[in-house]
Amino acid sequence: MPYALSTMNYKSGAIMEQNTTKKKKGSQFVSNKELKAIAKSNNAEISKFEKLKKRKFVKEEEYTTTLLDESNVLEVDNLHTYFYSDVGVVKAVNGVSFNVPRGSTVGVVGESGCGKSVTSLSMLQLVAGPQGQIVEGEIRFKLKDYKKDENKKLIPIMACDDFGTTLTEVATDKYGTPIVDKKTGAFTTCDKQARDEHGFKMFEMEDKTFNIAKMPIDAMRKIRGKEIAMIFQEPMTSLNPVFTIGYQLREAVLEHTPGSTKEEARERCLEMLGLVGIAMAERVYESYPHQLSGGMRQRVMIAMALSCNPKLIIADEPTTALDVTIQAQILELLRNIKKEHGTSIMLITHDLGVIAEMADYVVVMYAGRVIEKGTVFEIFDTPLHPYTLGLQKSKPVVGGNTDKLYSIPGQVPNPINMPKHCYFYERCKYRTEVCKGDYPELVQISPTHQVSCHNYKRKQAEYEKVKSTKESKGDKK
Amino acid sequence: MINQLTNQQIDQIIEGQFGNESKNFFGADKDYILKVIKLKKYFPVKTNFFGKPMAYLKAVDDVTLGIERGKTMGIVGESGCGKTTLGRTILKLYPITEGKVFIDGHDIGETKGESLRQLRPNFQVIFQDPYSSLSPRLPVGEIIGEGVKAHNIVPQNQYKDYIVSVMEMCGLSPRYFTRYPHEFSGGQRQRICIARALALKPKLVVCDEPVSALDVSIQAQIINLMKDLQQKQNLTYLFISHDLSVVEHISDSVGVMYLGSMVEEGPKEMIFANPLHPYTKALFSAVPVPDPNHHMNRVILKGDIPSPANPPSGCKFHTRCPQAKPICKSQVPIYKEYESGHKVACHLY
Repeated sequence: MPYALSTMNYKSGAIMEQNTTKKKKGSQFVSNKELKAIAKSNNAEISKFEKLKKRKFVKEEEYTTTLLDESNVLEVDNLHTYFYSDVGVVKAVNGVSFNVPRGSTVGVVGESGCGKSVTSLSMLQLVAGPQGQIVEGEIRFKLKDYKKDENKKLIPIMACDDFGTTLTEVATDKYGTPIVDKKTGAFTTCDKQARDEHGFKMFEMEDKTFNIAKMPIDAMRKIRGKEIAMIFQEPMTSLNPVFTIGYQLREAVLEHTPGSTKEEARERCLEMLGLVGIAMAERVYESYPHQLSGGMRQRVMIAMALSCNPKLIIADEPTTALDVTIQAQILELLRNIKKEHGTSIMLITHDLGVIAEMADYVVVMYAGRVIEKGTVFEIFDTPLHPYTLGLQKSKPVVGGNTDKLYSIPGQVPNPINMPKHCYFYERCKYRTEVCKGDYPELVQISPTHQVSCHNYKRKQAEYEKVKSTKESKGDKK
Repeated sequence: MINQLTNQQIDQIIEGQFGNESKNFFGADKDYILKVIKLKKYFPVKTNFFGKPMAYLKAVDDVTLGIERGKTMGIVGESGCGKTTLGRTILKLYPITEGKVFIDGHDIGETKGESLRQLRPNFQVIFQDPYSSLSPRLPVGEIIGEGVKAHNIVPQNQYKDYIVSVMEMCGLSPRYFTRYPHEFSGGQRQRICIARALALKPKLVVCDEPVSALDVSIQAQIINLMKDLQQKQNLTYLFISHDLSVVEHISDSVGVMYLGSMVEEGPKEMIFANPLHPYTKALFSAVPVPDPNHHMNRVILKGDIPSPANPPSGCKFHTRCPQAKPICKSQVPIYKEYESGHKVACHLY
């Protein structure tokens, strides 16, 4: 309870004295009695969610759903992720919905603390519990899952020749050594199992759509790293310093491909390291994280994310800690991967330049809500929300000469006790009487463009005016 | 009182030690507040049995630069190229290995102890990370006032009024006087750092990546504040950053560093309109433009920056240079003037 304690204790200081009497009644002050009430309600809520999570046998029907649009990989629908803190409930993600279409890049922009990272962590159920909980909403994700027989065992696919007869091979144990019959001394044979292009054994698969928000933890482990992979913000802190790069890379491969051996996994990892542009893959495979530079570590992180052929890569500020030249390399790499493997990418960043370069669709977030979304061209050419406009103006551009940068006045409102009206009201230049009313709904402008602002028509009219004058000039020419 | 050297005396020292060439590097009619001549900073990395250094990491290697009074110079480069070390060596936070630094007529390399301490209010620093450069145990008023008390900037009875006026100047409300750093956001903390530096009425401020840890909208606020303060107080900035768009916005002249050496330097307009060195070109082309309709020809550098403990022979950039010639491997290029004020170290020119 940092806020409560600090406001109560600060009574000293000549300058403070004028303000203390007023401040006590301010919105930030929380009394001891209120604190106790908050703690009690928090405990009740948290234990409710934790109980649901800790159940041992959860039926699969409980968390299977269907996608609204089959061309999407992932759909986030009305997601609410709350943090039950000691001074009140922080609604970090408050009704976010967007789609990630197959083979495209979705960029998520916003200030720090607007809920970008919490949204991505919710997608993998990595929100720090027990304070952080997904309270409401669905995250629908379509994946290919292994089919199982009645005994919950995987069904292998057998290799066939052209006439449909199954092939046979020498049977091996789990270390890859052939099994010898002790009586006769001959090798035992078994049906040959089919292998995919990476040399891993194949099993029967089927299409399933899961709701990630309600998935139990053991089912979630199949998705993490395999279907949805994440590139974390700081490569320095997300690699384990006491294990070699090789150990950390092959861990994911061994976990997600049943029946694979250490050597097979090593081959695959070296291939991945080569793909991300590391020249001495074998040396890097044996080295420890501290022996690599920042750019190399970030590339190792990307290799790790790619090693299981994920359908969706979540890149949480992948280039913020890097230099421009290394950033250019990494972005080029991500673009190539998207092109070659058809992977969807969700790119979280606050650099609008990176978004303009990489993304097909843009989602702008503010204080835990989506305020505008659309294609890149819609967001950059015809932004409608005043916050999007402000973000674009405040970024200095090389070659753009202005004496003073535009800066959005004020700060993000306190996440506890959010107002009922538009969250951007206090900082908005164009606010009117209407804005004091309810929170604005998302309005459909075009099939892809949505904005949550009462006064979007004002800006829309401006664009149309510019457009019409341009067209009339073009006619004259 | 420490005696201040005149411009002629400084010129004599430079000519005596480094020859006529170094003296002519600086324009004769200009009023330089900072002159750095052939500055070197080596860190020992390997010692022999008796503790004598055997190998050095050349963090700053032969850097010469000058800033005029009231102007801003931006230093850009990749991480690990020695930008920060340069800034710190100029302030004598690290001892100087070789070369000379003159700030406002004082030879910083020769000054020591109490006399150096008395000079310190003249040159201040704003550090990169506002989260780790403020003491969590001191309230804001004391953080800003500590230096003021130590150097007797104002009489004791005016102390509190002075701190409040500095805080107001930097956009901090006076009621924050008794609050602690953890209660503030990143942008507010950076304002505290700026207030701490400016409370000592400095002439030169070294800004070591002051905005790279901040959000875009907060960045704009801090940059505007720094520009306003510069006009009001006639400050001189040495602005170190890897964000080219920020450097272009705030600087009058720009220096590009690579592996401890300056590869290109000149007025902002010349550098951005006509970058000469292949490294500068690659650096500029790598900046993403916030416009989806924009398509640029990107020069992507291959590989990482080489280790400064074992730099490549000849031109240090030849291992990654797309236009490298055989001569680049053997000969170190001379740092020379290409057009008036625009200097470059490359064999192509």
